[in-house]
Amino acid sequence: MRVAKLLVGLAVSAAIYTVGVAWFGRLPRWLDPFLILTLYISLERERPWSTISGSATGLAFDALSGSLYGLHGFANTVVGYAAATVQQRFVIQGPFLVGLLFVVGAAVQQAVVAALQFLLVRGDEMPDPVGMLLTMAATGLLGTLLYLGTARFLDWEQHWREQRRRRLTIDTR
Amino acid sequence: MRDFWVNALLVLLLLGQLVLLTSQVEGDDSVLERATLATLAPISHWTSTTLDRVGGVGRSFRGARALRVANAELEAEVDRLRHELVRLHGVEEELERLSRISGYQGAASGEGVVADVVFVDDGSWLRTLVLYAGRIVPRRNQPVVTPEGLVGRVITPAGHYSKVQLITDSTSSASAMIERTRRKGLVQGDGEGGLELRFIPLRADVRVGDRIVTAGIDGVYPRGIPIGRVSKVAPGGGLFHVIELAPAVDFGLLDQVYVLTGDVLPADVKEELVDESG
Repeated sequence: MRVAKLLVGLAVSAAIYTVGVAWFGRLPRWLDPFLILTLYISLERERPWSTISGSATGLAFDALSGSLYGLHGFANTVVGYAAATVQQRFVIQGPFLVGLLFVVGAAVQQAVVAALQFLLVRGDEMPDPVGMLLTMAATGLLGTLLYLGTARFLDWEQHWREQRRRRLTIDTR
Repeated sequence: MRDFWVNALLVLLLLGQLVLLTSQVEGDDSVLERATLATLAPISHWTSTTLDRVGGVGRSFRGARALRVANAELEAEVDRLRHELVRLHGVEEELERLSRISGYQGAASGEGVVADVVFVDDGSWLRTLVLYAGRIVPRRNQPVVTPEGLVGRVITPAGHYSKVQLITDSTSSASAMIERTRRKGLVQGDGEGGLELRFIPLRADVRVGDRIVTAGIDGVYPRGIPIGRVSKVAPGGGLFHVIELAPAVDFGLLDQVYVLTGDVLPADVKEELVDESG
C-alpha cells in the first residue's frame, strides 16, 4: 500500500512538474512537487520509509530535470530522514507546525543542494537567496494545503463510513 | 538496535548517491538515471499531450477569421518554398555533377528523424529538454536540430525518450564559424538563454548580423547547421572579442525537432581516436 502510494505520488508529481515547466518555465526553481511529496510521507513518522521515499523522489526529480543525477536524491534523502526523526521526537500536528516543518524541510534541501554544488561542481556560484526564500514559502504553503486537504478528506471519509455503517445496522434490524 | 539499521540505511543511500554524483561530474550518465527517465518520461509526455489538446480546443473556438488569414499566408509561403525547392534541386544536381567530375566527397550528415518535444526545462540548473522519438532509439551525442537551426545534443538516452542538453546551457559548447569569413571559434551557452562566440581574435573581421554556423570539427555536430546571429561585438580585455549571439532557434516555441542519426566521423576514425586517447 505504501509503495502504491509512493508510485502514485511520483506520477502526480511528474505531471505537476510537466505542467509547471510547460506553463511557467522557471517554476521548478521555486516549487518542487517531489520535495512536498517527501515531506508529506515523513508525516507518517516512519524513518526507514521516509528515507527511502526521499531518495526515490529526489532521483525522480533529477531524472526529469536538468540537475545532476543524485543531487536532489542526496538532499531529499537527508530531508526525509530528518523530517521523520523530528516527527518521531516531537509529534508535529496542526497546520501551523506542519507548515513550519515543510518550510524548514525546504530550507534544508536548498542548503544541502547548494553545499553539494559548491563542493562538486561550481565553486564560484552562490545560491540565489530570493529563490531560496520563494522555495521555502511555496513549499510551506502548498504542503500545509495538502495536509489540510487530506485531513479534511479523511475526516469526510470516516464520517461517510460511520453513516453507512449506521444505515446498514438499521436496515438489518 | 533499530536505530542502528535506520542510520545504516541512511548512510548507504547517501553514499550510493555520492557515487552517482561523482560519476555525473565526469560526464557519464548512469543506468539508474536512464531507467528513471524511461519510467517517468511517458507520464510527462501524456501530460504534455493532454495540455496541448486542451489548449487546442480553446484555440479552435477563437478567431475563425484569423485562421483564414493565417491559412492564406501559409499557402503563399508554401508556394514560395515550392519554387525555392525546385531551384535548390537544380543547385544540388549541379553540385553532385561537379563533385563527380572533381572526385570530391563531402561529409555525410545522415538522416533527420522527427521527434516530439515532451517539455523544455530552462528553469533548472542545466538547460535541457526531454524528447520522444518513436521511430528510433536515440544515442548519446546525436545532434538535435530544427529547420531554424541547432538545438543541442542527446546526453541521456532512455529508450525512445531522451534528455537533450540545449546549446544555451552554460556547460554546452560547439565548434562554430562565421559563415561570411569562415573564421572558426567556439560557441558556448551563457546559462541564461543566450550564446557567446569565443576565441575570435581582435583583428578578425566580425560584424553584428553575421551568421554563425557549426564548423563540423568537434566530432559531434555536422558542418553548416545555423547556430545564431551576432548581436553584439565588443573588444575583450585580452586577445579576443566578446561576441554575443542571438540563437537561431526560439526554445520557447519548440514542438518538434529532428535527431540527426548519421555519424559525423566514420566509425574507424572514431575507434582510432579512442585508441589514441587511451
